[in-house]
Amino acid sequence: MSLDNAGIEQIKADALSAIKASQSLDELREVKIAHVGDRSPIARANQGLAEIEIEKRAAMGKLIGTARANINQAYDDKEKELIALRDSRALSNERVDVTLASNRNPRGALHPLTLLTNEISDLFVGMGYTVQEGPELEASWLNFDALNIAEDHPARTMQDTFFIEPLSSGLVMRTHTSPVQIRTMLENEPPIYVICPGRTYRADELDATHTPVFNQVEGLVVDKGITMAQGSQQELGHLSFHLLSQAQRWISSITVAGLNGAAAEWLIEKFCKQRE
Amino acid sequence: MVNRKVLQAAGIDTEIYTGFAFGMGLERTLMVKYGITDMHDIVEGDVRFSRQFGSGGR
Repeated sequence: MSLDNAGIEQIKADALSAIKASQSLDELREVKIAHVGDRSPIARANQGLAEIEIEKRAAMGKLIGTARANINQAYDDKEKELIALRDSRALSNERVDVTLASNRNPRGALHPLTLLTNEISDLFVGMGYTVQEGPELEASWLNFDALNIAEDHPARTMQDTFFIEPLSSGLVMRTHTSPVQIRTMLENEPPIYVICPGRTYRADELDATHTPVFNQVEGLVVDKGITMAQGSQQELGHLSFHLLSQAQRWISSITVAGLNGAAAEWLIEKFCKQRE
Repeated sequence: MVNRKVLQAAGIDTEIYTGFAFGMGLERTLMVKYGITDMHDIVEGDVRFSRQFGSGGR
């Protein structure tokens, strides 16, 4: 490469204009490779110093050195300017208005168990029932004895029931919502039409089909002339028809006090078919 | 039908009154109704599970 003043000035002018024209840090990086780095024209000119006559070398070296310093200075200035620009853009783009109403707590939802409880309660309230609730920590007498579950009944074993220490406390976590029925009968005179939803406890391990804390809904009717034929068909028919279109699949999940499974199945199936 | 002994334990005159009772497990009913195959989904309390039942706006 021929080295003269005009050539150096041209290299410098090219570098400075390229630096000045850079609009982003990415562009500036390209410019650095082309005009500032080890393979740039000015660096090559510097390497070429060794080949020129010794009496011109000092002057030329000074010229190149000055030009290179100017280029480096322009590059550093431009880099600072572009970094500042990028940061200020990021600050304005990512700005958060802390006075806006917060949306950081996502809206919750009612649990399907709650929805189902409400649905069943509404259905029975519509038929004239009242909703009754009772304590989850219950007297053993109300949970078992009053319901005709004898001392030696398997449901009363330690495997099934959460007893409260000391055992002489006579307290259990209720194993069904049936004690609410006893409480209702003790506190009210017939006619009684109640629906009793609530949380119940049995000593099962949590797995795909069991949970130690679960929910039941029980209904109780006490009145004159209540029989399976007159009393319960309407309620159970309403309930099963309301809950499921595929009523037959649901039959296995309902138990009717005083009936064996086949009788309950007959009752519900008969009613659902009528209504469908 | 409610056993006479139960009514009598609660002070009901079984010469006059009779009763019937019924009950169901709600977790079981949910599992059948919605085809839920694992109880864990019901008890774990993940709001993404609950949202599927259309109560988010209430």
